[in-house]
Amino acid sequence: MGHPVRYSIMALLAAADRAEFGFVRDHVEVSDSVLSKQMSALEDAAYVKVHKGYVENRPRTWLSLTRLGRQRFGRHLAALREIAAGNGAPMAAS
Amino acid sequence: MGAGPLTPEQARAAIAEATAARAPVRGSDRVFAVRLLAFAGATVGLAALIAIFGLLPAWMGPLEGMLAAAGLAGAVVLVLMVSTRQRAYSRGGNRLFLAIILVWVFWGEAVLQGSFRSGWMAPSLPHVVRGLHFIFTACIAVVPLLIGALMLGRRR
Repeated sequence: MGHPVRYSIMALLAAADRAEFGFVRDHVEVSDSVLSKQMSALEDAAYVKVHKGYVENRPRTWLSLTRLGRQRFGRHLAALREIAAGNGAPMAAS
Repeated sequence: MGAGPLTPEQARAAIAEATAARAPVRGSDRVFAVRLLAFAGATVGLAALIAIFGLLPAWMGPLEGMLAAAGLAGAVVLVLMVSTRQRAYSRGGNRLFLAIILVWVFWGEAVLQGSFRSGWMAPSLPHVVRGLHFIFTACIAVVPLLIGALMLGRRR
């Protein structure tokens, strides 16, 4: 999560059961290639699951957080709240 | 954001971003509302079709019946097309949608049973009255869908 784009992806997916690749790309405001690259990193960390399927014969990719990803993002947010409240330990900028 | 420890301001900005990220996902729940409205419309439409075509054959010939059925089928296709446009599913929206469908199934059954047991839809009633009562019963049965559509449509 130590990257602004990865944080934005995680924040969006944390609110969703699943979201389409294009939906995430449009809201995070990155190109397909940037999103693919960051998704690979998140998938390697087992934070995100990628599901591929077809809708009306067109390929569609769905993204969702894994349980681990949800846990880690929750912890990350809790740490941010501590810092925002002024009583948290320093944390590397995301 | 650069490297180094986060300041409280940066942390607040990151939290705000995470909070704001919920809005587009919740906004996509409006497709659920459209689905529920379509279910409600199809239910009432089907009830009207049965009432008019089945109970009152004099009011409607085979051609009108086929046209009405085609209209309903068109509505179903429209719903399916709208459904494919849903690009994100919020966790709360998914659960609420399923809960509403579940409530609708039980509520609909209760309304139907109540209609028969109270004599509101008795076979002894004249065809026209029975047909109208059937349509009215269908309207009451879809109330959970309408409430659900309102709830899901208002999610931000």
